[in-house]
Amino acid sequence: MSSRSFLFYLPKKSPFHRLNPLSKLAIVFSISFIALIIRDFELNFWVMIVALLLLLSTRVPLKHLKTPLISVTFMMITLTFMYSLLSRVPGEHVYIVFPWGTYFTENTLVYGLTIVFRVMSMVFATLLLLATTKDSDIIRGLSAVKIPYVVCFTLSLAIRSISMFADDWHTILEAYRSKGMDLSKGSIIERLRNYVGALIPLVVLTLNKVKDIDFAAESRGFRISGKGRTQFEKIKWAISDVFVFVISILAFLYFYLRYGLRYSSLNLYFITIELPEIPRVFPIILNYISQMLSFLCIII
Amino acid sequence: MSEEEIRVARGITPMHIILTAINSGVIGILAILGVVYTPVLPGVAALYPATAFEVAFGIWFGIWGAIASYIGCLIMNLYTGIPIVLAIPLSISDFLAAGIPAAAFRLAKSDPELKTIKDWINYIISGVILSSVPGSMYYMYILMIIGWVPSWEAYWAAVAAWNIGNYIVVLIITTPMLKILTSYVKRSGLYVEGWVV
Repeated sequence: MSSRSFLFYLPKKSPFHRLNPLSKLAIVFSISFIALIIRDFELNFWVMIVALLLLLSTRVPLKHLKTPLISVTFMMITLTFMYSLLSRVPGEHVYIVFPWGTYFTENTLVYGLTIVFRVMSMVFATLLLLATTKDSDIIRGLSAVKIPYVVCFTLSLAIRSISMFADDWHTILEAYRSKGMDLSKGSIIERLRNYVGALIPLVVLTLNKVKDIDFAAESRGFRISGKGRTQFEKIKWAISDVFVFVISILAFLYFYLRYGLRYSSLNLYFITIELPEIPRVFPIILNYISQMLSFLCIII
Repeated sequence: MSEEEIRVARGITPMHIILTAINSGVIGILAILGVVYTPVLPGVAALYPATAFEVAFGIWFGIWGAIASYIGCLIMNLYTGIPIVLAIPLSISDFLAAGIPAAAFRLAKSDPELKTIKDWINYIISGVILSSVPGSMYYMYILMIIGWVPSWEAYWAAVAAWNIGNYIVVLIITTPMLKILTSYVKRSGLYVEGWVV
């Protein structure tokens, strides 16, 4: 089976690469929903750290993930900037009131960073899946949870066609350059107009490919319903897969009950399960730092 | 039985599915180019060339163009680091970008070759102006719910930037595409005259 992937898959020997796609999907959904449920600065920070450690444990170098990481870093800067200028986070001290009505309080940056941590947790979780799972395995995972065959086929062909059109687009641009035309010259509007000439052959190529693939599919008796189709590879459940799946579900349930619904205990028919709150260490660290600073001030 | 009647009688064929998948790939790659090179907010680009194709594909291929826009946007969101749980609802914005002109052209029975003033008015209203308004408002509202857009001021600024960028892209790219390529699309047998077939 080819390991070529449009997304970020990189073959490595890590425990995550060996997990089946459904277990990995469970981790992604669990971390993402936990990040959405909790609103606490410190807890969001720790969820992000856990997601980052999981991502690093895959041994996929971060430079392999530079496209989403650069894009996300830029967006995080924009987000912090927007929170500083365009938010109304309540606080005891209002430091700046902007002419357009928003203000900056002592909680603005903390709230903004909480959102940043939340986003980063979700991004790391998604990259964890995409960096350790082949496109075809993701589709197989969807198929295993009874997503209709036609949806899986469409997604699979869509992902494959992206690489195809990236190559076509590159060829068209090279053809333009070989004629001495520089499409990237001029203002944004001029550049867009230049690109129209290159986009039209791309559409024609696209439509020709549709006809070729349709002809090939129909001549092989392809049916949309997928009835009677068998699969060469099937999802296998090892003990590690079951363990990861169950842990992910339990972690999500705990955070949902404790921080979403704010239950301190759960009464079932026969037993009562305590849902203890996760202890915070930031106040202790801050207290320690302030004591150290006071001590240093006294010495100086 | 005319060719048109045969096509309608066949209903949904593998061609529609393949058309959707391949168009998703084109929209996906153009969406990624826009978001990677001109990022503003998560999944939002200052200039988003994919929207030009979404409008054209919606007009030419009806619901299949709209589904292709959804899948293309979903792939772009995942590629640029948007979490799966958000990418799934957020991509509806691009479904609307193709779905609105698709619906308007079918309801008004306008010609995608833009031959009459009625066709032009329909195109300007549904394809240029309205195609991106509901999608942008919906997308930004979701981002606002999860805290990525901090206030209504930021919300409206982002919606305005999104729409202005899309108006430019659609006017410059989609208009010649419709004028030049519609006859080719019709001849190719891929044109979807109704909503589905």
